[in-house]
Amino acid sequence: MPTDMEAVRKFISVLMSTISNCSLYTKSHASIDELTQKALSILNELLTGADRVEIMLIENDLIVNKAPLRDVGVHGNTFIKRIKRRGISRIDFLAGITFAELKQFIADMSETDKEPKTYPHIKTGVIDVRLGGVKVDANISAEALSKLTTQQLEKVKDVYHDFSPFSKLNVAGLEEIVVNFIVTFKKEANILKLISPVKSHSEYTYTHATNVAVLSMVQAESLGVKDKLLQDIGIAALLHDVGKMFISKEILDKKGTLDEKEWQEMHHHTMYGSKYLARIDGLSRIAPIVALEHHLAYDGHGYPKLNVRVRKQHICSQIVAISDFFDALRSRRPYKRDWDIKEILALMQKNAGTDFNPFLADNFSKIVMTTLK
Amino acid sequence: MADEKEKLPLDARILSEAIIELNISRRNVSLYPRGHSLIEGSLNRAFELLQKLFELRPEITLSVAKDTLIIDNYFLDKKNPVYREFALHLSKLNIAYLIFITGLTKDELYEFHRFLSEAAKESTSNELQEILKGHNVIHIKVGFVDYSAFSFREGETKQEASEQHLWERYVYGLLEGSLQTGDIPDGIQDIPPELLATILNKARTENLKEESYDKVITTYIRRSSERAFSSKELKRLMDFINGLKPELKKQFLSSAFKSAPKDIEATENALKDVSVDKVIELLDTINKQKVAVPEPLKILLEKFSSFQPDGIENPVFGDSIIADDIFISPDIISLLSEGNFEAFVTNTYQKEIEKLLTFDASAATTEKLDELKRECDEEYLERDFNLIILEFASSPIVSEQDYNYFIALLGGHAVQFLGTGQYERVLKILKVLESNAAAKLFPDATKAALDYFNSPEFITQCVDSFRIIGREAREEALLLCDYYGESIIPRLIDVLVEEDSQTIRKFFLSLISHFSNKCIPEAIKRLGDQRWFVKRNMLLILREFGGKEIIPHVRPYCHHANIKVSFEAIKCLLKSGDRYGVDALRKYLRSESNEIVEQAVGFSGAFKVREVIPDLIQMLKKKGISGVNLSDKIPVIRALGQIADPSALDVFRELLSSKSLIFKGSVEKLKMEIYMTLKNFPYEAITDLVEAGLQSKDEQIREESLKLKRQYAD
Repeated sequence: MPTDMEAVRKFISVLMSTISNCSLYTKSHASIDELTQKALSILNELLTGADRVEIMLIENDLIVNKAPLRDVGVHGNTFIKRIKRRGISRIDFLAGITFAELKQFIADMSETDKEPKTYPHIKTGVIDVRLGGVKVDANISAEALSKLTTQQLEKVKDVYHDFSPFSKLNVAGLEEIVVNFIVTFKKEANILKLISPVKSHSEYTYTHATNVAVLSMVQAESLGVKDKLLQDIGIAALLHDVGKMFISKEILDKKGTLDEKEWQEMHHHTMYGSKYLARIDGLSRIAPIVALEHHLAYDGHGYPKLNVRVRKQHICSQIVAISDFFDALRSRRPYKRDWDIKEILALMQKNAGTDFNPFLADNFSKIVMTTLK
Repeated sequence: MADEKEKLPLDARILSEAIIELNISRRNVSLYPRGHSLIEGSLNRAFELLQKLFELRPEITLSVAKDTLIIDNYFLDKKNPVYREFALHLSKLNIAYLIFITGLTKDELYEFHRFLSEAAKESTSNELQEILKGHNVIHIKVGFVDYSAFSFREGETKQEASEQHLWERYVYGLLEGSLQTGDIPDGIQDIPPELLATILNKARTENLKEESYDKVITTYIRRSSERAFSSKELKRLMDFINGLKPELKKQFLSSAFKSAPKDIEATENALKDVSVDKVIELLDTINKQKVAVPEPLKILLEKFSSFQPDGIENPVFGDSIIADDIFISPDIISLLSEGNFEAFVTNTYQKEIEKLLTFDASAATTEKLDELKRECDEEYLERDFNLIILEFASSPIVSEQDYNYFIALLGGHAVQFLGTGQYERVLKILKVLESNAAAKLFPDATKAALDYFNSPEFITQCVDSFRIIGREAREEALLLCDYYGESIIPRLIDVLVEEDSQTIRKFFLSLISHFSNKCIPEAIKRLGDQRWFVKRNMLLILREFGGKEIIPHVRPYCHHANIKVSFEAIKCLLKSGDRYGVDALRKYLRSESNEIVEQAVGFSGAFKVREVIPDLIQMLKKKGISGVNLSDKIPVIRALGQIADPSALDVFRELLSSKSLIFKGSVEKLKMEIYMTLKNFPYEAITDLVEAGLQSKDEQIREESLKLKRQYAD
């Protein structure tokens, strides 16, 4: 009997509402039991005459009982993100599932850090390519990934070259770069040495983006951030200035002072970048948030001016803002000298509380001072 | 791979033209009956083009990669909306490829279109195969995506490198012919060259045959035996070869050049965009590995290798460089020359960054970790993201296409917010849209969005959410009710009548009461519902919010078969002061059922129905034959007390002066009950009773009397 895909969509929708309520409120919230019961009822209907409902994630597509689930909607996309973040690519719900099991599964899914568990009637895991009796040594040497090669640097370029209003962002490529950054952290590889030989036009942008990504990830790591979240912050930092690709080259490369109109247009890069990133499937929401807010300033006095309401700068945007500031001042540009570290940190401290989150600014200073002493 | 139509070989070009006609006829078949001139016209054109194609080759394969069509190894232009639409339509049906075979008839083509129109988008491959069989299409072979090639590793989670691991296994499957699916997906193209090389380096080479490598190369490079490599493929191949172990290099190069270009022009075309460095590198590798290279290729490679590298690979226009589609002025070229570049990122700074990479995260502070994790939780990010989308939706910088996209996203967000009781966010979306409508911002799209948010379906979702989680956000729910106004009332009433939980009914009644008398018409309409509890609930609403206008609608229910409905109707009329209700109440006061009488007495008191005082006095005067009869009079005393008409005091006096030896206890209770009700009467009318009470032997009566006297004195 074909799977009722509408019921699957409904199930995912109710499941995600329940998980959301678990995240936002408490696990004992009045709605949890009722929503769990609702999800269970739909699931039991789907399980009528079947031994399982099998949900598989291939890239960003959900495959349910070997058929693709189309038009998954916002709930479906959130579901995809949530299971991706947990490193799961398949969930099987088996006949006989109980209310308690489903409720526990929902509670576990609502916690970001909790390892996926095994339940009697819910099986989670990953998908693999089905091979006929081949034994394969599963692990690729980390060393193969630990060095950023010129080719990988080229990928950074490719990623940026892809940012034209007419082409699509290669998210997979970005993730690879950032994964490599993470591995590189551990291997103490040399990133900038690999970047410096490249002499093409946008090299400063790439270098700046890369530096900001590295500085942001160092900050995040120093705060105890790991794994997927670290990767998401890295990607967001790498892409924070992507909106500049939509600003005319005349303005971007202008050596003199920008006039008011040009300055306003320059300010738009945050909106352009965020707007662009908001439309990319499979990218963490952190990226468009950071692209929009990295000039917003800690106390909200920066740009862009927001219409809907004044918002607090997201903590990831605060991290990237610090890296952005540091790299911009530390780098040498045609119109400015490279600032001394102490000068930059002093200015950062001076602007802590207005431009920067004081705790993060202080933390960054500590990282820099202890590491570069 | 080539993008431009001009680069397509003739057969592929005819097919690409045929696709345009196929897409038109596909649409027409779903709209018009067979024989319609529009269908016949487009079907004939597509058919003729396919026939031309079969004159060149017996079959041609059209592959589908989501939104892109691939003919042999040529990607058709993604930006072409027709190709894109056709590709998306096919991929929604799970179709991985189509093979058009000589002998195809026009009827088959028509049937194939019917299959495309009728097939459900979410069927499994097997189901689709079955549907296709029913259409008897023999000369179009359809390949579906085979999801069974992906197995389940229970209990594991995907680590960072597992994507590579997946591909590694896939490549092994290809090499050893053990992949348990008939087709090689396009995905192998996505493996980075250096990664593929790493994987192959780890393979146990003694077990691998040359044809296995051929297979991988053919798949990976998508080489056609009839054509030369494109420059892009060659670059890709070089990246790949460079990563291989020396012993594998030769084997791969031999395979790769087996069917290398036969004519020099094709080879030159293939190599013209490859950098000199790459050519030298390739030549060097080939020489070292002693691989036999086809003569034309060898000549060209040598020719290229003799060039002096000029360091600039981009096209030049005057003193400027055109990189991709970006025009780089001489100033910029100069600015970004090596010297200036180094000036951007100084060696000192490079070293500092390198050193920062050695930062020891084990000494990390976790002071802000919780805050950071909380703000990065999916739910919180989604909320922030929604605000961003709202910014775009109210920003002048968005295009209509963007606007439509964001508006669609907001629809999804709204449903998500309803699921979590975040009604203020739904309201925010609605307010932005209202403001856009007022500002005439993309009026059609804005109107369509507002229509969606005001549709019965969406309003029903709001009310469903109120039922589950609304009590937690009552004020916000009321604001949303305010936004929808009267249009939400029927949905609220639906829940009120269907809901089992008293708590939820009460909550919904409070929401409905927010609309006051605006809910009257809907309640009157539903009085005709056959279910007694619906009638009762509607009467309850009418009682709460109705005025005189409801009287004619309610009267018929005073004598309903279900007493609960009758009493609700009576209560309704009593509240409106309608005599009809009093008469109905009188009837029930005379009922033979004690239960009904007791309820009627209760309503008499609660609604202070003076007209029934004689009936109540009559009930008090009725002689009882047992203690039980006496206790039945207690509610009557209470009712009279609630009405508090002095005309009832005489009967009270009679009862207070009565004495009973047999039912002394019951009589004393009656007396006490009378004293409890006296507080409702004017003091002047009860002075004698208070004075008598102060002299009573019953302590409780004395206390009550004292209280009454003091109250009066105060």
